Amino acid sequence: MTYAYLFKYIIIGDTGVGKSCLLLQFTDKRFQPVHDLTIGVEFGARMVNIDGKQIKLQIWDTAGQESFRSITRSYYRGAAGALLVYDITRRETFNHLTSWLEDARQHSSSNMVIMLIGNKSDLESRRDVKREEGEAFAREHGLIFMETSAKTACNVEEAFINTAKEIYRKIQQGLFDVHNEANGIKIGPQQSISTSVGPSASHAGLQA
Amino acid sequence: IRHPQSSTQQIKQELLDGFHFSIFFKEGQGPTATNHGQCCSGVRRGTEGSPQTGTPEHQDLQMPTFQPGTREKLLDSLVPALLTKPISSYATCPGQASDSAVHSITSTITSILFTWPLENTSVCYQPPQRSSFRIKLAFRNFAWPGLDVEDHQELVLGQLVLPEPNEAKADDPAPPPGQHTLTMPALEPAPPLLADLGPALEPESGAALGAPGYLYSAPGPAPGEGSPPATLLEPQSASESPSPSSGTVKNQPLEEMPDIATFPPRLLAEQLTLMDVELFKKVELYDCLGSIWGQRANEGNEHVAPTVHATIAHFNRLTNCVTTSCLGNHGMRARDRARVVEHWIKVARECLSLNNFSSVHAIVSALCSEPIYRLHETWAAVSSKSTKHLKQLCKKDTAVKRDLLIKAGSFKVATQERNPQRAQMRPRRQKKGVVPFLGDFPTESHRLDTAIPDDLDGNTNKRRKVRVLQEMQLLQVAAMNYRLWPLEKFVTYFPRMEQLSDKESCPASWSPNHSRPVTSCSGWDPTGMLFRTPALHHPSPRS
Repeated sequence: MTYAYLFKYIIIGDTGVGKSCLLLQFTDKRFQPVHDLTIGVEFGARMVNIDGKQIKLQIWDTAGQESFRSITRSYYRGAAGALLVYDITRRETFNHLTSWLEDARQHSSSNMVIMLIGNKSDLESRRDVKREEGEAFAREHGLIFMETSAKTACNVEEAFINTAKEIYRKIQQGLFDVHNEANGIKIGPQQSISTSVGPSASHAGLQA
Repeated sequence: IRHPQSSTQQIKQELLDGFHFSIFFKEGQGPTATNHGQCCSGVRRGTEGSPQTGTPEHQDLQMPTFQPGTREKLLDSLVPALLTKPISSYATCPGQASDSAVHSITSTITSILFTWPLENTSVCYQPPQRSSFRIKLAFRNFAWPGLDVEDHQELVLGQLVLPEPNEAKADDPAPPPGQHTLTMPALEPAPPLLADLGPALEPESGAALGAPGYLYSAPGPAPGEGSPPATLLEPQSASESPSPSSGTVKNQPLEEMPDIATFPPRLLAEQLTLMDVELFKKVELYDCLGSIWGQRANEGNEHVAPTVHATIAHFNRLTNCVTTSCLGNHGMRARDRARVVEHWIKVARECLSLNNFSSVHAIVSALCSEPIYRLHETWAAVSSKSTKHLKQLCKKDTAVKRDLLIKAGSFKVATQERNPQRAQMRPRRQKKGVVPFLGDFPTESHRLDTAIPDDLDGNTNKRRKVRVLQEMQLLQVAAMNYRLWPLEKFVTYFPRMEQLSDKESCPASWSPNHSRPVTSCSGWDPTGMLFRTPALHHPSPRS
């Protein structure tokens, strides 16, 4: 299926906050291995529609490899969006956000859109981090914020799509150079330059 | 489809022919193999004196004797039931087993893949003049899921058996002294594809996982008692040793540190592989399960999965070394850095040729991470050939590719060399080992635990998890195939290599004299590999 753009995302955050579940929920179970024998499917993908444009989201999941720091960092390169996830029932996952953010900012494109996600909102009775705290953190660091439940699918679509909208908005503003894949954005295979939006088309970028 | 029994008989005959045993088994004497070739004829023998037959119908089977010089070949060709070390390393120990050797040998755990056959289905050999232990052999027919049915494999398993203190119990199926405290009742006996293994895989199953000596490897033989050279690289304690060899070199006097580029790529790749192999062979498979590995984040659980942590520490150290060697010296010019980058690309290619997917991943990740990738002038000075090679490496350095490469080549390596004569005919380099990137396994089992919906009977994921473990275990067997020896110079060098801290290597604060720091969004993409071909890696069932 053809697409206007491909956006690359990464999902980061502490162990056990539900990164893989979010991805699975969003990709409509299409993240399942082709068959039982495949180990190591690294990303899920799904098409979304933003402003009448087909956009393919390619989402990389590194759950279980959080301690391989160099790996996580190599994934930052060329990501246009990051979902930074914590678990609203475990405060320590919220406390670690600063270091995740620091890492992401150091190793990624400065334009990377970061969506802060407080996951497991279905577990209201066990809530350990107030919604307002998440909002305040996001405001302070210039992130978008949502609470989601990968279990009930609440807000999951919105989280991925709102991130895409923000990236798209930045493209239109000319903040992203769409010709430079290091920014995590790729023009679709059948798209000529004339079909890309915004002033960014005139940015030639530093190609090797 | 070959009949399991006939193929088992065939291997047995091959094995015996290969070693010119003085007495042969008779064809068709073995009991009918019922399930996965649960094996052949049985002869048990006391530690001293006359052979004792396991079953009456095998009275005519005699203890084969080794021709001089063939014992080592046999030992090398065996798949050890204890995976920590090749069985030959024990067999070359002095005849009198020391306490520590006893300890490590008796820590043998019946493993999920290589279920040890029932008592009367294995064959015991006693190496001449090695009366302190016997080698128990068993033949297993083994169908690897995903391989063609025609393609099922036969394994010859070897297990060292220490003498019973009480001779009267020589043919008792009970394990040697000490072993009973270390085996896992919950896992034994385990069927080949163990849908019913589930209880043992759950964290609640404390009886199995909490068994003494299970979560933590038994210590190896004491230093200086005839360990093979490779054991020089063993971490003394997985949780305390961030790199495989730091324990051995910490207190050595400082010498001039040579440049990393003074080590030829092949040598560097071999030494890194050796370190990776030693760590990988020690990985406790269960530690990679989400139920164990997932606990590490909880407070007070920092000690879980020490063998996995040790591997990760080494991995991170290697990536840091790559970064540091490219950035570390502020006097370096872009061209100097380019030579170092080229050197590491060569090393990564050598690692790939050694099937060391762990080091390939570490090196490629480091080269493609921001601190190095952003160095325009450096990359401009890197030869186009090297850039092309890096691009090729990036293509192969994905989990799916690794999985395919491993499945295509390495599983067979683990099992094909059972005929030592035939193996001898092949050039040595064909007997390849393999080291996977460990991170692929916890990711997979994490996903199975948390994200992949199970089917109605709840067994599909359990089977998949067991399969992940089986795959790892087979790879640990394949890892035995490496024939590499540590180079003292490198063993002392690697742990002492300077390492930049995160802050020092991050673009914001690092500013070398002779390189122009650039902003991270500058669009430099020397390999064009920031996007991998979606068609190749897309997990959609359509493909």
